[in-house]
Amino acid sequence: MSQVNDAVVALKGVYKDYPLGKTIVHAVRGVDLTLARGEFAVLAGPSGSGKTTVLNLIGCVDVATRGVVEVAGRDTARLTESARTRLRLETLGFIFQSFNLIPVLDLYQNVEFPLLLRKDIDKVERARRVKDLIERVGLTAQSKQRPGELSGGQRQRVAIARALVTRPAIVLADEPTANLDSATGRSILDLMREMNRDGTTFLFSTHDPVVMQAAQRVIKIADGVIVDDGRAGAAAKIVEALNLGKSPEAAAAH
Amino acid sequence: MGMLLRLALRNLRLHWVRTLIVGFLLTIGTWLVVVGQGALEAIQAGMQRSVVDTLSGHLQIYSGAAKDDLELYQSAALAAPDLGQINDFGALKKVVTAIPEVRAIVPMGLGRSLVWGDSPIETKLEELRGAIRDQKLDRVPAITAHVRAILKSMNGDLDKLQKVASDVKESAQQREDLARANSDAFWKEFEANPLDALEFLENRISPLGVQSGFYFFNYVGTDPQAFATNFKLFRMQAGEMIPQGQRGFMFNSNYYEKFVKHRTARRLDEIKEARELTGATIAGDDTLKRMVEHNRSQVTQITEQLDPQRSIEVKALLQKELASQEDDLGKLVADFLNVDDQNFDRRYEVFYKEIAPRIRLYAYMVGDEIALYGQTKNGYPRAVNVKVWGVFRYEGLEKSGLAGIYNVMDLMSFRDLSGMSELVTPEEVAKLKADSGIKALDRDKAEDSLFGEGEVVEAVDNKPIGDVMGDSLTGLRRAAQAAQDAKFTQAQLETGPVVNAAVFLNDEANLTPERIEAARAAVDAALNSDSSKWGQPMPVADPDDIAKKQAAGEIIQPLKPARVVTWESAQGPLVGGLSTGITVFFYGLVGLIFFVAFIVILNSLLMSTMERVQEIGTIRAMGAQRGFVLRMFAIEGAAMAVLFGALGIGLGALTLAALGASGIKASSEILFFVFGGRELRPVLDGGHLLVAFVIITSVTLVSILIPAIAAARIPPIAAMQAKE
Repeated sequence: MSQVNDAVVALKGVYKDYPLGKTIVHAVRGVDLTLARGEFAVLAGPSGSGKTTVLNLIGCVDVATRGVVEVAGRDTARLTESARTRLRLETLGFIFQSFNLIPVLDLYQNVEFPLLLRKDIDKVERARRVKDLIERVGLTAQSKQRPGELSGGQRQRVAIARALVTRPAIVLADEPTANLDSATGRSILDLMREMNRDGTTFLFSTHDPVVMQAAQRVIKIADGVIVDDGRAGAAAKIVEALNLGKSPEAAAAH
Repeated sequence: MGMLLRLALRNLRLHWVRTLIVGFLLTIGTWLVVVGQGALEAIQAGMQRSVVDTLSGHLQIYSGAAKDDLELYQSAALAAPDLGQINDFGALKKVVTAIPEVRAIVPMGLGRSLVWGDSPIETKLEELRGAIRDQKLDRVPAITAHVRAILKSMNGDLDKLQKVASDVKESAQQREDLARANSDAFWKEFEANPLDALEFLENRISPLGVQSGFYFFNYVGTDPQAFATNFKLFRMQAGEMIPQGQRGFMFNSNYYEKFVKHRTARRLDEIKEARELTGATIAGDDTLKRMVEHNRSQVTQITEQLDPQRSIEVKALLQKELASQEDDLGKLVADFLNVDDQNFDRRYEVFYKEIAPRIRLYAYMVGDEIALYGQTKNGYPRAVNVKVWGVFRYEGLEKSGLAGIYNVMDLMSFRDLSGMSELVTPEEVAKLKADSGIKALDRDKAEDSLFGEGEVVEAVDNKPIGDVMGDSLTGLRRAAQAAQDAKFTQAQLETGPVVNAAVFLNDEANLTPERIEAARAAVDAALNSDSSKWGQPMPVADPDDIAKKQAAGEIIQPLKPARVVTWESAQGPLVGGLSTGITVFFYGLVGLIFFVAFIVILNSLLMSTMERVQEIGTIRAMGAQRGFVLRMFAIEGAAMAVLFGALGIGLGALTLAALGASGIKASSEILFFVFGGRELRPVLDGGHLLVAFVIITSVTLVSILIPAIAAARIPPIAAMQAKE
């Protein structure tokens, strides 16, 4: 397969141990995983299965105890803290379960924020990208509002726009629908799916079957070990297709 | 940057309670720094004025052989410091005034003398002599009646005195004299030849009177003209300056009012002052109540001073004033002095209009003579009589006890009193002896002369004080009287010895501490590089002193002919400590406020950092470096500093402008000295605003440092930890 060249993420024999009091928790125990460019994948598993740990390792906010984590072709263990931060800024986008918007900034400023950390993007380009993304998530009318004035779904849309504004290679989403009702969750999924079509790789962690159904690939993890890494079935694809067909309206309806 | 500032401002607004508390502290702190510095600078200038323009000049010079440091404002220690002496003031003046920075030099010597308060008989005899001299013959009968009343009471005094006296022969003579003075025959003689009778009373009876307590008079022995010209705050208040070439004494108004004034009048003044300055009432203030009580119970201080004629006048007056039928003068006066808040102003007016002119308002009045007693360094007793020429005050410092510490005396009398007088040539010695009637004496016969013949005796200067103590002070008194009449020339005054000298510098408006120090160094160099220029010998080190210093581990400085010190050093620790105390208090207060601000900022920001762990984690996860988080906090701190600093500086500037326009009134004795006058006018200075700004910015940034570092350490993974 051409996956090796295309791989934006590669985990090889990765272990992660945490000290917890006097004992050591083996959160991840020998995970091998590759994500190709443009994949829309789900890490599925119950709480404590290690899916968030895998996400953190890929997101360069945590470092493996053993094994190799490569993001955009770079071994994250060999990078300095500062270089990992730069890698996050340039390659990764994050969507959090509790949205994590900056409360004192309005919607527009929240989306703009990551671009302000980038020296290579000028003002005009910045404004163009921010406006474009806000329009795509359907919140142009609310762009002066603060996170506190928005609904949960709207907040997560802002978070999606913020994650994509730097045009990252990979977007990592930790239980993005966990705090949303199912209809809203679905529309958020639709939105992400749409962004995925532009070539951005998405990796979720979830234990929501709806999200799993929407994914192209479901990687099941239990007790820190990948137990199943299957392409989603044909039926799921049909569901996806149906959902996709609906999604523009669904998004607009929000 | 724009984003950071926006974040900072939004955060300040979001946590508005915290922002208000911190802001309040920062504003108060900045305000205090601005106002305090303005006030402190004005206080420093004020204290400098209080010291430099009344006593020290900019520099002080004294002998390098001094064993003690010069402290112009001495603590209450009775032992006089050993400051050595400068042998030839004239030569010193020549060298010092040749230095371009120097405007003037004034000779000085500080001293303190014991003065016996006049006995009632002395006071009355003085009055009697005055009445006869001024041909006020209508007053004479009333005064003689009073004198006779006092003489009668003196029999008892004499009994008391003789219990402690040992000389039986002498006391028999005294009894005889007193009996004579009490006889009607004597007063017949008085009518026929008042001056002779008066002389008998003054010479033989007066010394038997029991003196009314004693005073310690502090004085600066100086060239009164040079003193008055160079000490800028000097003003005459009553009487006249000591004329050039004459001996004399001038009271400092503060000292005069406080210690020389009639106690009753003084208490009335104090009550009036308290009522006017602080708005106190007699009814509501225990101190004032006590003063009224003292006045009421000590009526004899007034009645004893009234001769029979004046007693009748005052009685009639008070009966009318009090609408009373009371016949007893003492009770009337007591009633009159039992003032309350309603009648105080009226009684005060009546007291000064009617009673004060009939009593002796001051123990010493302008024109009186004071007999000052002292002793030389070697323990020889000295006495000089000086005439009181006037009362001076220091402009603005009339109420300051510190500024009122020294009276002024002519330098010649000072030299006599401290044993510094040195007659230059044998001819001068001879002339002075001829002028004053002093004759040399055989030492063995000195005692006879002292006690018996009433001759003025030179030998008394050279006898240890123990030999001439007790009632044999008569001889000293006469020597003092003789000294008083000896006039002198300006050249004599200038060429003799002095203890110290005050140096005044040019361009006074622009004198900084640095320039004063530079001038000090210049004077020091001029005097000590070649002491032969002004004839001061090189001091010889005292081996005991060196041993003592070595034992104490002190550094032994090579001795120099002269010590030259700035006013700040000359004022001594008593006053210097006051200035230091105020400065320390101010900076302590500023320090305290900013320390509290530091703690509050640190604490609240640490708490807010805890609250913002996820937010900061998110920012870090999105790719912000640690430096970004640090900057985020720094800008938040800077925003607070600028905001509240500007507010505090603005308020401070307004306060200073208001205080500068209205002035802060001195409301206590010490404040007059500290303010250098009746009020303090703090100054607004751009430098102070800058200092305030630098302080508030540093404090804020330092207090923000720990929370900022803690925040920068928050790992990006913190973003993942779900809040709810």
